[in-house]
Amino acid sequence: MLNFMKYEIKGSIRYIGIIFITMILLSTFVLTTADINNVPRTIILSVISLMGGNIAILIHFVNSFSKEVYEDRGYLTLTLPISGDKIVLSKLLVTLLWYGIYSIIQFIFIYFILNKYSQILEQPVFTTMLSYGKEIIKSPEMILLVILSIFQLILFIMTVYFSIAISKAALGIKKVGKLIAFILFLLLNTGISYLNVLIERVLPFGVQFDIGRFSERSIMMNDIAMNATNEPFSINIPSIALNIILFILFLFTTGYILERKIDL
Amino acid sequence: MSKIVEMKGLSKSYMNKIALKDVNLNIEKGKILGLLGPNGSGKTTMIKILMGILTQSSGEVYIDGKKPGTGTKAIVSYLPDRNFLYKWMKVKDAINFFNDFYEDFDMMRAKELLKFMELEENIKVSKLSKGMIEKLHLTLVLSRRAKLYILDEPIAGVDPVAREKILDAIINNYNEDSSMIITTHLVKDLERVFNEVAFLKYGEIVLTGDVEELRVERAMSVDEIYREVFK
Repeated sequence: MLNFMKYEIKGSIRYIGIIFITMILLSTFVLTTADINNVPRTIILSVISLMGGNIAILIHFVNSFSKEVYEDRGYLTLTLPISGDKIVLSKLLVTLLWYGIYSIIQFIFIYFILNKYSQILEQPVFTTMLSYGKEIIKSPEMILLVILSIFQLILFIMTVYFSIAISKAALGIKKVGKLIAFILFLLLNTGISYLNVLIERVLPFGVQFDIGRFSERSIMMNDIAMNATNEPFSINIPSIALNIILFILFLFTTGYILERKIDL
Repeated sequence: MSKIVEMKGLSKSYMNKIALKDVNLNIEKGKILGLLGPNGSGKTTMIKILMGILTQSSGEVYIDGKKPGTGTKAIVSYLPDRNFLYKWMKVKDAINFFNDFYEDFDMMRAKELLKFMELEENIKVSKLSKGMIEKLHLTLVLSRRAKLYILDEPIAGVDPVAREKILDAIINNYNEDSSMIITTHLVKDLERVFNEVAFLKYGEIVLTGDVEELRVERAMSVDEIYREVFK
């Protein structure tokens, strides 16, 4: 599996490198030209940088998996002495790696931009945002939220892989198969969201976290429309269990399809 | 002699087309089988089923006593009839790739074959001509010490000079303890390599046997038998 990950990284590094370089150049431009007079522009360009890179990585991982089942490279990948679930897991881990590195670089730039504004603006709003951010980022609640967000991303990626694999196995034809995969992906995500809502209603067993201790700072940030809340933040345990089961199901089903049911 | 490949009642059909019909074929260890037939006769379909990248409609297939899967992929060295290498690869990447994934890959043999085929390691795969790509594919496949080699149309679409090179590589690097299946419709060029042949017509085996016995029995070369069978 590590060998497969190595070649996945090698194969994607050029495309991902272009995305990273573009993002770094754009973010550097934003950082160096950030000024009192161009706060809206700074925000817009930062959002473009963040969203654009994430979308580009998304396109890459969808294409990468799609090529294994629809193009000639499948004759290499699917004839390797490696199980289907290892192929899927390798691709997933490499995608997470790129998302992780991209997010870290983005957050570093956001930190420096906020830091710059906190030094050049008389209002304490950016200084407050920075120290608020530093406080909550170390909190157990934030760490848990990050872990849950990563898991949601993993499940999202797995529904993409599963949709592509099962459409290819069922239909085989490239154009129709890809359209069906997209429709199936939408249906699956809708279904999963519905199931989660249902479970939270029927089995409301969760863990609650009190974020009241952050409320003092959150009130100070109301000037810039940060919606602070004193409501406890809760996580539904059965819902998490469902998502873990779905992940395992998608992983092994997709692997099985790749190994036994794909007709090249 | 024990069998490396067994096919029992193997059939494959698509929507309204029968690609393979009740094929029964065994290949013994140490033999080179020529799987012969015109385009569309079912040769590649049969090979893909052996490789586990196509599911049969009915029947059974065994490679060294096992159904096609991860285990058989480790002992079968497969040359598909298309360019299967990742587009970003250079020649050396492809060599290292095979070395990393296959325990039976012989790096020294690979280097020798690269030299024989006159291929530079630092060239991108996407820059190679059709003949050079075929030579690279064959280098990768023959550098493995596999139990079974499957070469699907190894000389199709290749110029005569490259063809000779490829044939020499097959003959000189073939391991007598291994078996080989070569599919082709270019019988004249490959005839000298085969121990046994099987003729596939509209998905059915119409003739099979030892090459020498067939030549003596019919007083014809395999190429002439091919023309006779498929006229």
